[in-house]
Formats: sequence, structure tokens, C-alpha cells
Amino acid sequence: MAAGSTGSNAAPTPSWSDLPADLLIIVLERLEFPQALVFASVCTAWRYAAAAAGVPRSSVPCFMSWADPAHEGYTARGGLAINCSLYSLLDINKAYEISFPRRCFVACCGASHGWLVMVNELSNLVLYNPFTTAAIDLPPITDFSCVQAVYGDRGSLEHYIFAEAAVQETSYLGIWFYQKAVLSCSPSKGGDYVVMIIHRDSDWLSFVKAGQSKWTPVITSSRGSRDHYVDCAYHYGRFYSITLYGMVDDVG
Amino acid sequence: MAAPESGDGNNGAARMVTLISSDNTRFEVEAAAASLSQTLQLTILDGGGGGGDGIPLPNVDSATLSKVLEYCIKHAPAAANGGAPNATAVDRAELERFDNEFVNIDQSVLYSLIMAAHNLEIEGLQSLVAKKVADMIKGKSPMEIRRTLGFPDPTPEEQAEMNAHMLEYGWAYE
Repeated sequence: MAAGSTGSNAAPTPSWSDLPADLLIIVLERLEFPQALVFASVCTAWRYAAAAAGVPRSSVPCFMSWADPAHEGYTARGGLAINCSLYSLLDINKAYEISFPRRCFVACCGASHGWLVMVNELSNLVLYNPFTTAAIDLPPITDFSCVQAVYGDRGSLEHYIFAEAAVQETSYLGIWFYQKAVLSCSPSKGGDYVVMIIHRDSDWLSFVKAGQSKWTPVITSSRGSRDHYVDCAYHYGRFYSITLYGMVDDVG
Repeated sequence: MAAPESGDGNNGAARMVTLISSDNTRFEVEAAAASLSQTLQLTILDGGGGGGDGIPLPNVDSATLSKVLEYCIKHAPAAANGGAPNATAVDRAELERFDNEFVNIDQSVLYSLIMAAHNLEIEGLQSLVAKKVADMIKGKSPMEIRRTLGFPDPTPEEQAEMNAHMLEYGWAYE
């Protein structure tokens, strides 16, 4: 099987699985994130090398950071795609750069069950799994009555009007419109998930179920007019919200 | 770190060293080229490898060594310039073309090369082959990678382990 070109003395069949770990890591450093996981699947030795190099696994929590698009080239319209780094919680010096293949996400407003809730360049939410690169589009931002789309002569989206007054660039509105997003379960393998979001200056709470095409607003009783939602969590089949004034609500 | 070889000993003629492969083939090469290897550089600075002595390399066969030396001879002038601040764009393009062509070889030769580069501590060659291997891996499934790199067929245990690992990320089987 070894190529005859290696000369007269029959070289032993080279075995890439026997490559020293430091060489494997040098190869690994040249792979982008999801490909590094494929690398780890190849054989046991490669899996150990990937673990030693700090390649995150979907079953282990990691810390994610990303560049603030407001500082990184927002001026280039539409060219403000963010990338992020995943840090191991066990060794903060091990970082893995992720560049999103779609290169169109402008912000991230949540992470649950191995999925990220990303904002795309049209300010719509997208569920994105960095481990598989699967993406699920959620209903558009124009679903909310406070956002109107303005189209140009040729039917292309020009910008949004927010609250019937403010003109917002299509990629900019989403950067501040969503405060937090939470998933009830993983959308992988047809999971029957619900996404709950806090949005519009922390004033609103809305949700969408798997497969639905519309956001449904949540009416809660406990908010005073000057109160805001600060957090939202899912636990045993129910979502709970908490406000700045400390009101906890079971939001179904 | 290394002193340039230019002012070394006998004027004009470059200093030569002899390297001996695992299958006892002797290679005579300029010390400057052999010194791309961190391991050899130390021996050469100590005055080794000259005359009839030769430096034995028990881990590198003649086919691999001649390939390694081809790389070293090509890269020696740029390395002697200390990363070549005065290299022209043409020189750099020529080296890049050489590098691309150089690693366009069978995976078994690539394996011998990266092992030799590792043993001899030739950093440039090591990263060149590593990059080539990464390029060969990109966009392939674990099974395709195994086939590309000539792995033996996985044992049932290995297969089960691979399946479990792939399942963790919800990847489809090939």
C-alpha cells in the first residue's frame, strides 16, 4: 500500500494516527472550528490531541466572546459580520476562533442547549448551531407592530421605520432591539422548542414555537409602567420572567 | 540567532557537511542549508559533519532526506537573510510556487516528510506539510479523512466510537 516512490527499503505503512500529539496540534491549528470537531472524530489519538488543544465539545460548557460590531467596521454597511471566540472554562488561555460561515450575523442575544440565537443583517433572529452549522430562521422583525419595512422602487428592502418615527438601517436595528433570547430545548432532531425573547428596550416579552411563522406577545400582569424585564428563564416546562422591580412572573 | 555563514573559514567556497541517511546514503550539502534544521545547526556550529565524518540520521531514509534537503537548499538563501527583509516580491512568489509544488505528493511521502521535519526541527517544512494536511482534511467527513490519509479500516470498536462522537454533534453518518 505504501507508495513505491519512497525508495528501495520498504517503508513501514505510515500511520497518521501515530503522529506525535504536537504535530497533530499544529495541523489542528490550521482548521476552523466545526472542522476541528470532524478532526476529533477521526480516531482516538486525534480525539486526545483535539482535547489537549482545547477544541470545545458540545457537551462541555464554554465561554463565548465576540467583537463589538459597533467598533469593528460597522461603517462598512452590511460588512459587519461578527466572529467569536470560544474559551474553555477549565483553561481560559485556550481560545477557539469561530467565523460564522454565513458571515452575516451582527449580534448574538442568547445561547441555550448548544445553540446560539443570532441577529442577521436584516435584524431578524436566527437559531444557529456552531457545532453543526445548522441554522433555523425565526419570524422576521417586521412581525412586531412597532417595526415597518420600507421598500425601494425595485422592491428591495431599504430600511426600517421604528415606532412610526425613527429610520433605522436594516442591519442596525437588530443590534439593540433584542435584549435576551432563551430556548426551552434544543431544536436539533426536530425538537419541539419555544424561543422566548425580551425586546424593545426590555419592555416586551414575545415567544415563537417551533414551526410557527409569527411572534406571539406575552401579556404579564406584574409590570408597572416604568418597570422593565431584566431576565427570563425556562424551567420544567415553564418560562419565568423577572423585572427590574423584582416581580417574578410565570409566563407559561 | 544563527550567525550568517558568509565570513566562515575558507573564503568563497561554502562550507559543506555530510549527512548519512538510515540506509547509509551520504549526502553532501552546504552547511547553511543543513542549518535550517535546529538539531543539525547545533552539531554544525560545534564543527561536526565536516570531512569524512558525516552526521548520521538514523530516523530518516534516503528518499525522505533527499526531499528534505531539496526544501532546505531552496529555502537557505531566504533564511540566511533573516526572514528576508530585502527579498523581492518575485523571490517570495517563487518560493511560494516551489512550496505548493513541493507538497503536491502522495500522503505517505507527506507523512515521512512531516516526521523528518519534526525530528530535525525544521519549522518551516513542518508548518508547510501541516498546512497541506489541513487542506487535505477540510470539507471531508471523518471516514473520508481516514481514506484520504490511508488509515486502515476502523475496528468495530473504533467505528462505534466514531459514530458516538459524530452523533454528539448531530452529524449524519457518511
